Amino acid sequence: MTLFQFLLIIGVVVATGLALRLLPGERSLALKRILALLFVVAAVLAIIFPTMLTVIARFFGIGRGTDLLLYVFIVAALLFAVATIRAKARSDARVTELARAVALMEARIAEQPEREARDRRADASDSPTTGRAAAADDPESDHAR
Amino acid sequence: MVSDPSRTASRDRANSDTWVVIPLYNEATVIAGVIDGLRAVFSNIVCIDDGSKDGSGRIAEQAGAHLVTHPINLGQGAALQTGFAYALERGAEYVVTFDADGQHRVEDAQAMLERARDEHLAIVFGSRFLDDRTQAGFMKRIVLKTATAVTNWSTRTKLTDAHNGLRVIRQDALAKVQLRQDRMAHGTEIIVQLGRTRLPYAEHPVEVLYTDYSKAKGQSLLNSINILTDLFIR
Repeated sequence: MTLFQFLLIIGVVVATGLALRLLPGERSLALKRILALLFVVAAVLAIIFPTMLTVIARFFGIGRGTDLLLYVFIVAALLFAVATIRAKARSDARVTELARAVALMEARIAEQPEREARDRRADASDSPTTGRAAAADDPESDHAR
Repeated sequence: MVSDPSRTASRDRANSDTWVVIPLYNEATVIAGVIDGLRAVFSNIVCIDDGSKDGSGRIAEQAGAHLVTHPINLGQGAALQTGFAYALERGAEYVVTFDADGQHRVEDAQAMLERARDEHLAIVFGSRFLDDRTQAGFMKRIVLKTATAVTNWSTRTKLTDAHNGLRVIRQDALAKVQLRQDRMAHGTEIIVQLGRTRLPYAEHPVEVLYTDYSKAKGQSLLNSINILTDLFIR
């Protein structure tokens, strides 16, 4: 094994380990761990036995293992981009909901004094009526009698 | 755009079950006039200030509109959705969506609301292509017709003008709308969702006033490409 192969293996293992550790969410974590493990095994094998890659490439009708690696890399990069865009869209939607909740709450708070003032006015106009009603019920003030 | 609505003002003070929702973004020079015109007919007006930087929100409030302020700019669709939530919270029976730049006529909004009431319609869409009052440029016509064709194709509706900001929506239809697209494609999304409610709708001929101001601010050709891509890429 050359020194570069050794460094490559270290890199793959460390990167995968970190990615797994930083991966958010418990959902399907086990599945992700299995996939990561498979990826590490495949990467290590490909690093130690590069000729294996060429055999696989030949099988798929591609000349060299490095070409296969490039194609797989491009597809992986595209998938990564799509996943990132989708994640950003989801996070944007959450921000929108949060901002909307804040805006509506602010409006509610701003309109609170208005509404209270209106309620007070309503109470004030209510009390004379109740006063009259009480007077009507009062036998002392009943002029009809 | 402010013509004389005072003639019918006394009768239409009864529009207290209706909220006018105006998405507002940097329209400081025209918003006061728009609200003045509306206030003659509608008592409940709410502006959703979508993070304007020119003090539009304050001007709208001084002109007599209720104000809800997005802490950050979220886009017109998000502003509409916020307005819907606000209006529903306050028991609105009908919501009128109205553009802040003064391209709609108050008389059209009023006629559409009356039609919704008289014909028991859940949704009345404004359309500038049902008669020939609206003077749209050739390119503008192509852009709007394309947007409409795509909308009709991707929804089950048959409309002539998909991106008209003037709409009347009844509360039962409104409750089923949940706009997710923050950018301009909400014009389509709102139709998709309203179409799905299967509630009765109609189109009403309206005139869109292309002033120099709204022309300068209006959607460019490039923006219509944005609308199309927004629709297909989520």
